[in-house]
Amino acid sequence: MKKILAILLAGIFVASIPAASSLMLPKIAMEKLSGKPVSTADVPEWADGNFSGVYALKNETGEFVILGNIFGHYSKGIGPWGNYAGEWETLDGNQSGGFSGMFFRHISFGHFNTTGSEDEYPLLAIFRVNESEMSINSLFIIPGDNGVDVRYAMLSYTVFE
Amino acid sequence: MIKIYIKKNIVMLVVLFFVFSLLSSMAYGIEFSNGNNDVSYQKYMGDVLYVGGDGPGNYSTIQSAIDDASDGDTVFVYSGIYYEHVVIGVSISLIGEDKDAAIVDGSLNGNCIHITADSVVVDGFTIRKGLIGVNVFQSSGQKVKNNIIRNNWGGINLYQVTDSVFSDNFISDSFFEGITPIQSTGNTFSGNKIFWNIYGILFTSSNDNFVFENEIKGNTRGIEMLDQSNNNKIYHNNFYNSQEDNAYDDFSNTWDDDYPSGGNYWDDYTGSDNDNDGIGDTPYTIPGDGNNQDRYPLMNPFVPQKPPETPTINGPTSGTPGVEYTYSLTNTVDPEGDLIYAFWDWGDGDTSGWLGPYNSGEEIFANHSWSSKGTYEIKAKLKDEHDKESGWAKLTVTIPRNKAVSYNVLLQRLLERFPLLQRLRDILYKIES
Repeated sequence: MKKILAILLAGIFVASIPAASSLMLPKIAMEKLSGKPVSTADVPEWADGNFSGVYALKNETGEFVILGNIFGHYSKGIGPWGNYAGEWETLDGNQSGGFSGMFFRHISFGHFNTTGSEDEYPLLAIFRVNESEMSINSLFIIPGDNGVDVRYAMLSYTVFE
Repeated sequence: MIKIYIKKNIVMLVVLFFVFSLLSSMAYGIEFSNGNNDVSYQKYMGDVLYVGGDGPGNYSTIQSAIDDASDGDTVFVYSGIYYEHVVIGVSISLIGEDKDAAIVDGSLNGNCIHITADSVVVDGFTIRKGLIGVNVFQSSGQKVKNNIIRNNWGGINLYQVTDSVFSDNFISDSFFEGITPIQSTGNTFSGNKIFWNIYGILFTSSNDNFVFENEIKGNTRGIEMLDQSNNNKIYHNNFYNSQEDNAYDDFSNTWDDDYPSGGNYWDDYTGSDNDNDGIGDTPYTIPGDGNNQDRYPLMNPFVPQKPPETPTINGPTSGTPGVEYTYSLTNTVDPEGDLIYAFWDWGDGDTSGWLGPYNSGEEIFANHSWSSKGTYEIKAKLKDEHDKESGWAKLTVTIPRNKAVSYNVLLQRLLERFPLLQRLRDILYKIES
């Protein structure tokens, strides 16, 4: 699964470089977050809505372990394209960071970082949007100890008037 | 002398009646009721613990009933919403009154139902908003059937689970996977509707499982095999509208049931059927590095076998102990005209096993006698050649009169078994003399 997902997303990533380069990715704030869930009062001008929720891993027995909170904004671009930016924080509040990226249909590629570090890491995701429930569920891969780690995010979203 | 003999026997009859009443309820079970007379649940072993409803003494939470249950008990749950993370550590049957209305809600912060004991039945619930709907852990012999499992992070997860059956569930809108067997073998997944999940079924290091007669629709990917999942058999499933692949397999699995039984229906199969046998003339290639094929792809969606209709029991409704009576089953039609088999439960602990085969529609006869008076519920059901079972037919029989000739034999057996009665009888004899 990981291999296929990686190949699939990498292929789309390469194919979409020309289109991506023409988009202005939103700048994301990297300040350490306080309070839970992760939130920010600043609404970027480019945002069409926001999203918030939790992210998790699956342990070896297949059970979900909630790791932290996510908050961000998204913008619907041209056609099936769009972009997003946001912040993440672990449940204990000891780690946080930012992320941003773009999406095409139900596939997303982007990057994330950790507050206090200069390093940035790629992330690739597939997601599904449930418009009636106004929810997004995303399965994404990030660099990890075994090459890549799979993470799960369950989000709800709003649409700005 | 004759008078004394009659008196002795009258006294012994009173004692016998008492003992028989006691023994009958122990041996043949009791019909339990929650006290509000709306619903009762018949069983023959263990106790029934009621949750919800308005009966006196009913439990208010599923977990509190399970905590008081023992192996073999049944926990019957009335309709209502139960915001719980249920843990089942004993071998019980957890039965919902109505799968649309008996709801276990995990509030998205824990698993709805977590099973660690063997031989657990979960039947008749809506199971929603759990991190996992039904999580089965290191156990065997489970039956999870006839449930609606939706809006969970994951629908059903199995970790090191063997020889269990997951059937006739509607598993939909999981945020991620519908079913995830991990290191699990010998399980059966059949008759489920697995709709609108990211993965329908995602096998991980799982072997020798059977997947058949499921509807797998609208998932991002229908079925995928991961991490040395081998020797699973997948056939007679219908795959529709997967956003990516209907299936993906890097390993070695069987994707059909030979000819002429056939394989699966794939909505993206593009082959033809020039010989009109309902099976595509060219194999369907399963994407992935395993070089797997469905050699006999179905041209049309598989239509599962329907069970025979519930039959009707005909025969006398009262009788005498020791006398053999003849009963028959009518309305024995199998929709596909298959041969059928009949199973009788005579209500006294005696069952027939599967008898047959009989032709579809044929009247089926069987004889039985009851050895003691009482009210018995005869039950009978049918199955077809594909092991599809009908519902139970029922008939209540009252055996009101005892045969006097059998008393002495029965009395002798009782006295041998219960020395206390022997002593009681001796005392009675002394008083009489």
